[in-house]
Amino acid sequence: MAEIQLRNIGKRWGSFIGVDNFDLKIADKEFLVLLGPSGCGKTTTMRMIAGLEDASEGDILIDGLRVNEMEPKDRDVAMVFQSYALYPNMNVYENIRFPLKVRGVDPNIHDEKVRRASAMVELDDFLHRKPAELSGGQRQRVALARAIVREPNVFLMDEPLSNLDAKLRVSTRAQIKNLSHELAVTTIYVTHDQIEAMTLADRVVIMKQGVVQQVGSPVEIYDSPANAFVASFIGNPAMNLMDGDMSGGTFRAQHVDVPGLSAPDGKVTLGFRAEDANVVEIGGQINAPIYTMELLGDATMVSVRIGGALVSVKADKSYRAEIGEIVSINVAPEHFHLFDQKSGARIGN
Amino acid sequence: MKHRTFFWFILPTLSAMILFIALPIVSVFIQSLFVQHEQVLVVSESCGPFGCKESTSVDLEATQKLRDEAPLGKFNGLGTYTNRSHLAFAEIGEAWANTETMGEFWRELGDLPFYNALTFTLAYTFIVTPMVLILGMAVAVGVNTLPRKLKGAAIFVSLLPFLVTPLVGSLILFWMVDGDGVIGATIQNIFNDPNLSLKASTGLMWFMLMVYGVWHTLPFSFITFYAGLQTVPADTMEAAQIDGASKWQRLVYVVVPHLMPLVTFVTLMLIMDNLRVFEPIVSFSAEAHARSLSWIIFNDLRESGNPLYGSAGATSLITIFLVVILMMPVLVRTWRDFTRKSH
Repeated sequence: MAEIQLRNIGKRWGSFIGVDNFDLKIADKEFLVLLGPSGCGKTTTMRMIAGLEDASEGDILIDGLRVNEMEPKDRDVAMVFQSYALYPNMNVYENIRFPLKVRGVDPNIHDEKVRRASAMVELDDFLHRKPAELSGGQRQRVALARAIVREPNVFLMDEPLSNLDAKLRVSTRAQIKNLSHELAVTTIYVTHDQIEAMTLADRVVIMKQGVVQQVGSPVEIYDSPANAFVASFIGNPAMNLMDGDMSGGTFRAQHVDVPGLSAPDGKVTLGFRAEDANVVEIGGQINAPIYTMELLGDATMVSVRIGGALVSVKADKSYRAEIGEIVSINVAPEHFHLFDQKSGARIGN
Repeated sequence: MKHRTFFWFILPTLSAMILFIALPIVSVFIQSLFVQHEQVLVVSESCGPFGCKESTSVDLEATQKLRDEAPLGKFNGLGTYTNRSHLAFAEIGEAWANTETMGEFWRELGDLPFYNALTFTLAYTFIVTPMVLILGMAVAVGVNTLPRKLKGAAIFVSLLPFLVTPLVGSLILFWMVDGDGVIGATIQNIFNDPNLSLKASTGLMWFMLMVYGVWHTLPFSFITFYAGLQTVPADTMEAAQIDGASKWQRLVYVVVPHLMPLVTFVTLMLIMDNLRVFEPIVSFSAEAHARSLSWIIFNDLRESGNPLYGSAGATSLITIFLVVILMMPVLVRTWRDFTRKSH
């Protein structure tokens, strides 16, 4: 088991900054998710921990030992790749056994270890098959078993579910969650899918353009986003954000009038989540014509346009109205989030 | 694809293959069943004061007539294939019966021209082919790990032997090992023997021919493997790195299996190429020590004034048969891969 410390690590390619000043301590047995859009530096960070990329600056410590100059094989990490990265010429059994074989582990215990790992990911019936004869989900389970078999100190998972279809993604996600609980190994998981982050993580790190935006538990990040970027990245649908003016504790924008807020006067961005809003008969803070309505099954998503932004709220599943009809939306004041319009930083609620 | 569509699609290729491959082989086979007509001899008796004398002369007119009537020659069936210059069944049987030890038997066999040439050809093929495969892979891996700036120059230098015409390349090496050449003179100096000559020893001549063969064909396998290395999946290599594989283990377990289709292709090409070894023997004037199947075909065809077409044809067909046998494992493997993928 291992505690990982990333001390102001950075990665540069010439003048391009891939990761900037990443500073974080990852507790032993913690499940940390690096979340962000493509190119935000999350995979680069993971690759630096794995030893596949050299850090341009800073220190990487695993259990207090600086590993910057160590070869990947000496860092005692196991990695699961998005593309599975299986050995196509070997069958499932040999794929899982490979780390034991190349590391010179006593051959007498190979079989026991391989079978235990394959049982954990329910692959016992496929051990003789080649990767080409497996489905995407089965291949990813082989990759998981290969990571498990060696009982490493750290698991690194680079978007392991991205190549799977939606249904398989849900079941494999559950399997990873269960494995993480069972094995209790420090895990760093990279994804751009905020649902994976929310469901799997003990803590989430949200990154943008190489810079950490917020570190916190899924609940903290969901309930108190540090800036407008985090607010818009987490949640499905994303948080509604509207630009407007704050004056004397009242936020005003086209079709919007929200009194009773505590923030300094000036240009601000107001945010709230779709599920925190209610459609009311009359007297809501937002009164705008309906832009579109979508039936979700358990609710009806009603959307209006405020300035250039699309604002969506969840109404009762029986709610019906015509497009263009004025809808009144009410949000409890404690559910509003205020961000500085220029910097995007959180300034209150 | 419908059979009819496939037929029209394949027709141009099929026609070219029949015209340029099948027909020449059939033609050579037919030629190999015939031998040159014997010259028509006329015995005449001339008598003088001291008695009568018989003299034999060639009837040129009758010989020409015979050749014009049957230009292929005299039908000999498979006689050419089994005669002393080729498979020599009778001579082998005799050697088997008359020799005491296997060593003696093999020596007798080695004296037969076809088996002598076959021995060198097979030795050349089975030494040069794996050497070229292994060294080609090593050079490709080496160049692939060089910094980007050096790669261009390294590739150019590695390809140079392939750009040099075989005849010129082998002549250069031949001159180098001559007593006055760089290598030859150096060896004489090292062993302090002015009469030491690489060309005088059969073993050293074989060694030199094989070194030349490796030097000349190495760029082909290098550039093919180098191209293949660019397609090795980076993720799989990194996975192996994290799994704990050393560079050598990554080469053995990831790179080589990935390149196996290319290895098969290069092996096929090299076997075919090496079985036809010819130019270096001529350039090195090595006929006294090393004769290949191609060389004896060439020798049959340049018999002054009387080319042995039937004999050359028989050797050619035996060579083709040999190529097919040697490539059978690779062909079977390719066919199995093909049928497995198509299911």
